[in-house]
Amino acid sequence: MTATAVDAPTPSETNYLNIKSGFWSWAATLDHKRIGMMYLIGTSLAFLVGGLFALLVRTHLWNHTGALFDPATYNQVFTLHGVFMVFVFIIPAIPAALGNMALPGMLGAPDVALPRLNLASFYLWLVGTVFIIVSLVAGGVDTGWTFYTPYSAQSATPVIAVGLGVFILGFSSIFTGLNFIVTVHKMRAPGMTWFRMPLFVWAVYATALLQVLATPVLGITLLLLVFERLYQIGVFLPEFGGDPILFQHFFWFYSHPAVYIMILPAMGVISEVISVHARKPVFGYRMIAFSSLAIAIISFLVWGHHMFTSGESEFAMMAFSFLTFFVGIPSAIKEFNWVATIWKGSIALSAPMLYAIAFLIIFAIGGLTGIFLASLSLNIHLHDTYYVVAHFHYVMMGSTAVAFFAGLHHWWPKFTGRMYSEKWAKVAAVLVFIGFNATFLPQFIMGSEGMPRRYATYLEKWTELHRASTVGAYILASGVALMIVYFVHSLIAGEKAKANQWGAVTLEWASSSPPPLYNFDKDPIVTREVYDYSVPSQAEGYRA
Amino acid sequence: MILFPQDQPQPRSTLPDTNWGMPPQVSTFAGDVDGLYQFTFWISLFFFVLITGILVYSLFKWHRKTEDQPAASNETHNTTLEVTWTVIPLIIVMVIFAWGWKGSLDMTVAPPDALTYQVRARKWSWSITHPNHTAPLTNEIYVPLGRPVKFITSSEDVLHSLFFPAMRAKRDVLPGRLQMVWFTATQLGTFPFFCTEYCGERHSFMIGEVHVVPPEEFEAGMRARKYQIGVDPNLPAHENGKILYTAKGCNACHSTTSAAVNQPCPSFVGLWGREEELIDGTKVTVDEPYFLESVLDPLAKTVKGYARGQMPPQAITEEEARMIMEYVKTLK
Repeated sequence: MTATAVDAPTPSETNYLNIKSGFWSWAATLDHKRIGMMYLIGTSLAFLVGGLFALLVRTHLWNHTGALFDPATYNQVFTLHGVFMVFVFIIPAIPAALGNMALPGMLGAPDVALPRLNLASFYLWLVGTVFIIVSLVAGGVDTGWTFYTPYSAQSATPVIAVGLGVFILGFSSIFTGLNFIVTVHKMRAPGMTWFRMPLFVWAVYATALLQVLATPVLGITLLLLVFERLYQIGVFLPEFGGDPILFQHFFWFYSHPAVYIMILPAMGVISEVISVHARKPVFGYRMIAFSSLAIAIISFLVWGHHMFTSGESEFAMMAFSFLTFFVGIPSAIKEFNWVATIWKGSIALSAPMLYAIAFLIIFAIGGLTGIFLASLSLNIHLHDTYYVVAHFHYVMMGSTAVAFFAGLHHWWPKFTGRMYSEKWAKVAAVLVFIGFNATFLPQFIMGSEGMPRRYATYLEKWTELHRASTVGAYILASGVALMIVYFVHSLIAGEKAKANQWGAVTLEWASSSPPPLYNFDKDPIVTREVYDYSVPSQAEGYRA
Repeated sequence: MILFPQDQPQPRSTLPDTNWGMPPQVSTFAGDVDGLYQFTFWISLFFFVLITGILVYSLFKWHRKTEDQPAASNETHNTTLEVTWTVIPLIIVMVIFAWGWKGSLDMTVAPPDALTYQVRARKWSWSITHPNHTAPLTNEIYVPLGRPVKFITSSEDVLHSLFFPAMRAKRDVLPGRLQMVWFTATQLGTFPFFCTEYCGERHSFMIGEVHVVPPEEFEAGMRARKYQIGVDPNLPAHENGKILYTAKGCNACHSTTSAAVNQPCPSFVGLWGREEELIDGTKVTVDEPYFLESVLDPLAKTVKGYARGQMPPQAITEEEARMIMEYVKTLK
């Protein structure tokens, strides 16, 4: 991609990992890669905790009377699963962990624009997470991750601690978003025009806009909830003149865009991985870039589709349903573009590519089932059933988390300097794909049959489908467990990675693996179009 | 973490399967909803097969065989193709939008001749007053075949949602605001209804049954006020108390079969005459004044180990509360 960077990078003596050592060299670091690495470790641990809660939920549902817990405990377990997965893992995982590591390098920048804000963001994440862990020790909250009033204002569980924890996590997210907006505007290398930016950068940029604009609403909402619990200020509680539905409007005004805070960066990862491993420019680059922005904008206008049964006016229902169909179109465009990128490519079936292919199939199902839910009369029947649970897991777990795995396998050699076992990585990818579908396909059937969500016990007729789902969850978990084993092995005894392991042309690969402290030994100048695989002679950017 | 206490009967309803995993079609709009479901399903299946087909074909056809194999094409875009795959899905989803919107308009407006039921939801039971009746039934609804019925709902505590899967009808039940859901049943039989808005420990027990009965039978039952549980002046007080225990929804929470303690609320077994410690540390004996106060004003005193406000205010008279008390006295 650049005249300078395609020269064979001379392996540096020092890199960002070995240049300094000791606790404070990490705890007080301003290096975006180290902060990204700390985020990666933190969010991955949160994923494992959330996953453990998921296994407890699935195990409990083995019997229709509930196999493990009394209902009160079950309610706490599914709430903690949701809170950990949504707020602690998936919202920060791709932007703050993968984004921090890869984005400055992709722009040809030595670091993010505001390194101190970046570190502050990590510490806010840590403090917010500690609040949530404290609430867990204090008994676990039982409101569901949505904190609907008036239940959350009355629940005897530590709602305030979790609410404040999520409030703090929100600021961590705002800091990351703000930082990336400034970085994209101000830190692009000479010659890196807007339309030469990799699509991951576009996606993270669109995400950052959402983080900065939507998250404050969640913060305000949770503070109001805390005040409502402490002082009965009468905003959400009907007995004091409040309106419980107002909470839902506030909550989804953030939490619907939050769905796109999760999926947009995931889409960015997929664009990168598919392009590199199919060795082909991303088809319809501008359409994908614009659809990221279109999704970001329209996503602010569809929150009401979470409330079709709450008693909205018919006019509001019509408007929200219409806009929801509308937001599906840019997502469909992206899906078609990715498949067209693979078409006539030079397709390497590497581990990152397997995850990207899994993403394409799962995201297709996640998107198509969204059409069922967007349509008003069908939504009335499917609302708050397992159909919704299955749909959003296809988008959040099956798409976003699988894209996170794709990105993790793609950038792992770059940022750890070591390769993992490709063979076992492929086995894990297949296990994750099979396990995921086995877990959630049965839930679509249960949902259309009427199985309500958040039930600690259920009608006996759904036993078989629930058991299939539980078996699937364990297959999925075995894939993740395998992933942990070969990643740990890679860190200890992995083969040394090449500077450009996959033959990519984006700039973050134009340095040694792992990169030096400020990413590049000499400042890159961009002279080529993005994803230009057409000139094999400039082959250092093509083949390691 | 304890094993689930099995002293509550599990809801006995079942839902027979029919086409596409949707429940049986028991209302006038079920057919339209299922038609849209099938239409969307086939369209989705077509696009899913198309996408995965092209994907899998590509993986076989252009699989990288040598390390430095370049892509078979470096095409970066194709405007005609991109406009096509933007416009076609847009047209299809607009059709689905219009269909779903029209269907939902039918659901939000009840015919003027619909029979009116009053539904009061509370943790964790449904209290349904049938048309022409003065007292409610708990978790049981009787509706006539072929005649529109509408349910005016309200909640006494948190959010609930009234969901009739077989009728494809659902509406959230809110405190402080009346909501309406309606349908016209088209098939005789018994079908379940659920609470589908999370409401706490026993959310999954807020299940009831709707019985669709022949119109003549319903007419007679309505005139005779058959669809309510009322007290019978000929019975002794504790027998009436037993009836009210179910009718007033006490059974949603308070056990009468086991004295298991790990419950959201105390069992009635062995309760009478027991000494209880309150959250402020004082001790009370379960006697007549304490029992009546606890039923009529649940927020007055809270026993240690239970959440204050767990029991919502009850629509109950002192006379009824006394009958329930007589029943509790018999539960040793």
